Amino acid sequence: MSNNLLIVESENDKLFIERLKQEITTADFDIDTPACTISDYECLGGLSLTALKKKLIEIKFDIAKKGLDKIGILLDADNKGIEARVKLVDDAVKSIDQELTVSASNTWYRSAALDVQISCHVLNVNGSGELETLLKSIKSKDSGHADCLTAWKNCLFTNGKAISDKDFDKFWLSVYLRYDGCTDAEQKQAGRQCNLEASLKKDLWDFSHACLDDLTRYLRTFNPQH
Amino acid sequence: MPTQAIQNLEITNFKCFKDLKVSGIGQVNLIGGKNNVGKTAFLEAVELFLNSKTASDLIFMFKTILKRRQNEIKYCEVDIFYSNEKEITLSTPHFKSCRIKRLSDYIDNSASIGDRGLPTEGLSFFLKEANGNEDEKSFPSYLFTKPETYDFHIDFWKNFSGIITYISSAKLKEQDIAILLGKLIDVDREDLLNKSLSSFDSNIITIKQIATQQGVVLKLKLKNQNNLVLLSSLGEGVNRYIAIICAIWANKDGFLLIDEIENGIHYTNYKKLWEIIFEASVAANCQLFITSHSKECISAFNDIQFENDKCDAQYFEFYKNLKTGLIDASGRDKEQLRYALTHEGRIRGE
Repeated sequence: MSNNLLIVESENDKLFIERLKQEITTADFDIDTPACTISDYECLGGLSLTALKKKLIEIKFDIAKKGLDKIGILLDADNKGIEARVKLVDDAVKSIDQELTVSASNTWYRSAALDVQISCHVLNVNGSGELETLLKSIKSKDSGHADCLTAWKNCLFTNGKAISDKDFDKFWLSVYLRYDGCTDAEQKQAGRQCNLEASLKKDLWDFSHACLDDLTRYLRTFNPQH
Repeated sequence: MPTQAIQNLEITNFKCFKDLKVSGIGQVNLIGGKNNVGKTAFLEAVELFLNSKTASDLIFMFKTILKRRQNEIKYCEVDIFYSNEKEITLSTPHFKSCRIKRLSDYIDNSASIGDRGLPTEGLSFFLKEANGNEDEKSFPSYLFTKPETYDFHIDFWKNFSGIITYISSAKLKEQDIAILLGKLIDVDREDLLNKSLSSFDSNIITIKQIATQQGVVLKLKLKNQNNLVLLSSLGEGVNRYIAIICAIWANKDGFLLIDEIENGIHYTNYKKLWEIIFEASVAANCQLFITSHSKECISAFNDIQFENDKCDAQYFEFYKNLKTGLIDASGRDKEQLRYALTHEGRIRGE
């Protein structure tokens, strides 16, 4: 048990960070239950202010119960950008400490009232995107099946039926996991063998990719010696 | 809210509480938390505070609380001071305050217990009411520690009604349920009880009091049975359900404390139990303080919070604050409690 806690948006974020943590031996934090469940209507368009506030109010109880020292918040840039997501965090932390201001990502801010440090990191690739965008960037195997979706996307565009980058990345990931990342035998049990959790146990990702540098640097700051 | 209802309570040096402030107290208050975080101690503090209108009441309740926990022990110990502290205070700002203090000097108790009296260690009981009235009495400590002095034979004991305001986690005696039922009949709410009993268990039609030479016996009329059935022959759940409903009405315009409410009650009946508690507490103007360890019971409570907006119901979590080493209490509103329950929230001190 660590005295540091990382808040993540979704179950997939949790699975990914747990796997990445194995690569960072000095990272000292536990990952909390995701802020959003699959049935949360408040999270349908990404992490909302309401959902983050509720999560932080729950964590506020944990500060005293678990003696927490550091609380990190990991959220997607989505198409809103890093600045907007930091603003969301700043608005949300006011629900547990009116005096606290979070004005930048990857920076620890001390709450005197709660006797705890709080920070955030925004998952992004070139300033936008989410976990799926990051995963797409760090894939380490041939992605012939998934990449053909680009032609499909162009076809949609030509026919006036656009798909958002977010939806495309999710779709790309599903195809990569199932058709590029799974054997024929595994595909017969695709539900169990070709999901993200199973993929993280395979050699499908490059955890030393430069796209992860900011994130790994941030996760190391949980270390008390930092 | 009841006329004597409290919205907040400050407790200092009482049992495991060094300094506890509970605010936002409602009509029906559910308390959760791990073992040994003071849930039952909090009920006792509330009982001591709300049942005491004079210093003599305070002495009586002090003794009652000691005896309830230590009734199997020949020697009773005064164990309600936090650590080695000497002064307990229970207070609600602008309402009243109670103080129990270990006296540093010996007191002369000859006035209270006649010529047997010798200067001895004592306790001071002080009470200040909202109107400014103050009352104080000093009492020898040993009178609390010897079982044979239980009744004290002092007149002010007789002022107590004897109506149960505390339903412990153990099964209630049938005689106590009969008294509570009598009170419910007094306020003409028998129909309400029978209706809710049928909802609790569709086989139950009605409850009857049968007077015998040995006292009152409670029996139930069940569907498809000609003979009445002894209440004591049925499960603990029905006994507890009846006791709770009757006790709310028996404490009309007062308060009721229930420890580990879920004991003996099947989880499918929790919602029905909360429904009737919410309705009855408002109708009887009775403020309730209830503890539970059961997540299913807390979930059912939360469901009824959303269904019944007439009753101000609050959930409090008691836990040990690792930063201060002290026990704290935090309230969650119904929205936050629902979020916690549906997001694997740690609502019971985990």
